[in-house]
Amino acid sequence: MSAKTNVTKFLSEYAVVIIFVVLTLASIAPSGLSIPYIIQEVITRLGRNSFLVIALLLPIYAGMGLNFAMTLGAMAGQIGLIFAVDWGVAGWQGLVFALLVGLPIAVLLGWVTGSVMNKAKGREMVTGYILAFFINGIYQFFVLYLMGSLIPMRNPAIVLSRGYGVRNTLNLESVRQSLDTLFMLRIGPFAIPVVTFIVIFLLCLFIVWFRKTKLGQDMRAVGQDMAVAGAAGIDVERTRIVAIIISTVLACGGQIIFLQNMGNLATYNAHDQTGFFAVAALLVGGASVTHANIPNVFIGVILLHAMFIVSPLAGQKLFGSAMIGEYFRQFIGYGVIALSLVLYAWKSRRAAEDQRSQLRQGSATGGAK
Amino acid sequence: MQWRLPVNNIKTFIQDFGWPRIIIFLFLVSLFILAPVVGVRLDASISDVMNRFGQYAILVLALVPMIQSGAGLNFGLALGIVAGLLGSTLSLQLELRSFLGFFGAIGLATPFAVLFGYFYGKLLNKVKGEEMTIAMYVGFSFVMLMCIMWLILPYNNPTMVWGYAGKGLRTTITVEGYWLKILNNFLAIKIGEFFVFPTGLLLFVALCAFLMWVFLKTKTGTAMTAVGSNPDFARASGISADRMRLISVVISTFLGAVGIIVYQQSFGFIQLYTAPNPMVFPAVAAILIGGASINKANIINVIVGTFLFQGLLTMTPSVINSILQTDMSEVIRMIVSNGMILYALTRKTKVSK
Amino acid sequence: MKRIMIRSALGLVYVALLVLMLVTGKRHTILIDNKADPNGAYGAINGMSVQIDKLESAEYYPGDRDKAVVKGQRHHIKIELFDDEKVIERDFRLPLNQDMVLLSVPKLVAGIEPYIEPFTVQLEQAGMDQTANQSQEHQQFGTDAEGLPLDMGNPAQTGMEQNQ
Repeated sequence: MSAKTNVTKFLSEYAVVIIFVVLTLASIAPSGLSIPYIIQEVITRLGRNSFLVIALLLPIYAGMGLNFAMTLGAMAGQIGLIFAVDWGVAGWQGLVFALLVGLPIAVLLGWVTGSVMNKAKGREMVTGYILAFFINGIYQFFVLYLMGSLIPMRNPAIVLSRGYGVRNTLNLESVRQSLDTLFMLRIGPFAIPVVTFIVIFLLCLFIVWFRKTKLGQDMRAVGQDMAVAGAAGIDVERTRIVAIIISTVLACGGQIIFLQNMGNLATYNAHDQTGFFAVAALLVGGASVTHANIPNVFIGVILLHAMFIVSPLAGQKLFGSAMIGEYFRQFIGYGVIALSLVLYAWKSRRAAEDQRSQLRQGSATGGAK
Repeated sequence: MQWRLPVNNIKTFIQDFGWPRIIIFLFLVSLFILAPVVGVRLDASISDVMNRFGQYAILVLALVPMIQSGAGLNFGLALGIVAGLLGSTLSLQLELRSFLGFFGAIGLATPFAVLFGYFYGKLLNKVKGEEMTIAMYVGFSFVMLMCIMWLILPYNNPTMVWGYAGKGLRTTITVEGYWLKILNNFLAIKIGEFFVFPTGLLLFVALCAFLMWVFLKTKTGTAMTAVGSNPDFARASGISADRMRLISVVISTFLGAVGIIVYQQSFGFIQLYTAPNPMVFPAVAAILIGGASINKANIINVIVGTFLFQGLLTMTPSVINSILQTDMSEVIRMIVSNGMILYALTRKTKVSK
Repeated sequence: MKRIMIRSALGLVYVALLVLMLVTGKRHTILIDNKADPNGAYGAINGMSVQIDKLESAEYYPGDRDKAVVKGQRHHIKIELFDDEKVIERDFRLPLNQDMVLLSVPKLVAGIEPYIEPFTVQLEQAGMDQTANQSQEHQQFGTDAEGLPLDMGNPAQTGMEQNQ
């Protein structure tokens, strides 16, 4: 292979990472933000978002692609938080309470998602994407009409003045930053939410351990080839559903962690962007639709959010309008996901074509796919 | 499909048509029956449904070429819609009115549609197999890029730009005074106060459907279909799959542009910025409900699907709102439209008429 | 059989955890009151400093009322009377389902039981409840004064939030 092919290969492997690093570095100066501020923001966002991104790993492992339906888990977590606020449970106990309340909901929703995806094999990603909107409709119905009427709310302060339905902004002051501040380590100008990171670390350990269990190995087999796995005696349908259930439950916990850091809940749209941001982060970190690992998670979160921290202000200064800066940021965001998907698809087609042409030339290949 | 009474034939008809569609159809009929009972005007409803059918039909039609050529569901329809937006905004900028304005919009949109379609088609050819998700995100990011464009392009027609700075287009621009309802009102039949039969609109839709039908029967059309349903045979016959796919994408993008212009003249407004995004999924849902599969679609699918989907989407909120005496339309719309898409996605990909 | 046992055990653990969180985490607002009894059974205290648990102590004069927000059921109150330098300490429990209670210090000092009684918030007193305050700021929102969401979203109705 010539040097030129090597360079092109390197570029296409890391194109997305390179683009992000370049864009972020270029935007730091025009944004006017100081480096310590940016670093602190990245630390905060790592704590806030990583859990959600890790939730995406298992479905990819099981060959189901990017789980856009993780939003359902986020909705479950939000319902849990609404009840925690309603009952007045504060501090970290409030968070655990919210998690416990959201858990059965998340399991149920995960089961629904998995079953629906099993009926749409090969189209899981689009199906998950639409399912998120469908269940969102049900969530809106539940929170806007049922809560406060059919489902009694104790605290009249969180109910709309018409008597039923939850207010559209919920102050989470009772549980605000309760996980983060359990042990906040201060090094120089930086504040690091230690317990949050410990929780994330434990989750990573869980994922690593899970992969080694029988269920984990089953998922991997299903992910590589459903027919072969089925022939080997694995219950393919059930394994896939379990993968999605775990993913949804993790999303539930992740959203609770996210919201406790934010401090308030936009009841009706907090979960809208959850799936998008998690997927974007994972892809930016180098994952693909079929392969993702833990380093992808953290690299992705750092890169994506660093860029999202600096680019709005940079865009505003460069283009002279905050709106344009904001659109530019979204353009880059979606564009990068598209780019990652394109590069990945292009790569796998090239690999398949290379193989085919090698076979045609009659050279002895290993035969492994 | 046979209409004779023998039970066998009814059974085959049901199998062909598909239980799901029959259920949706019966549900729709029951809503129509229920409507006057709960105080919803039947003539207004029927008029509404026909209007919405005509509004969306061409957007749904736009999906046919790409499905036939095997390029999948065109989630990148947003590109065609943007081309149409460029056409209609230019038409307004040039103060074109009436039929000149409408057809002028289409004419102005065409070069953009062809251009976008060409590059988009080239991209899709490089990523065979993963078209759908990529199309979605290419569509989203392009719409975002256009958001920036709408702000900085030098339009200056006062009805289109923001009042203050005089620069940058408004989010919603009315076409009143230019070509509002130009098709709808052409030869329209008005019965009573609430019922308007949008003759022109439906004629135009019929014309486009007819042209598509004719096209699919031409040499290029059949070659396109061959590529989608039997790629090996197509390759053996010397047909270039890439070329056919590219043509299908360009046609699809063009029809997307036409579709949105037809929609705008009926709806009354040009919607810019992020508006193209939510127009794509209803079109996909409609054609799937109509019985199309990922690689086979025909005109009947378009007509039946659009009618069922839009009918349900129109009737369900109005009837339920009357029954419950609250305005739940947004929530209902979300549940119904996405539910239908989901339903269509989970069906086995069987070819049905 | 074993599966049922494990499942019911897990279920019990779940419920137990839920209750535990509720009991240890539930917030209560204690309204500390220094008003005299309208019937004359006891008088207000002329001046004192009151401390609940480890919170900041506050000074109270006749007619004063202040509040303390606490978590959990069991609490401790320490009263220092200015007049005769007496210090009274007491442990007390709050009922679980009462969000807000009124603790009358004069009653406590006079030895009249019970000195804690439930207190229900009238919504006009919006100043009492923080959440009500906060939410009222966000009342005017979009098309509906109720605060119903602006755009309930369609597929792909996206717009990244600034605070993400």
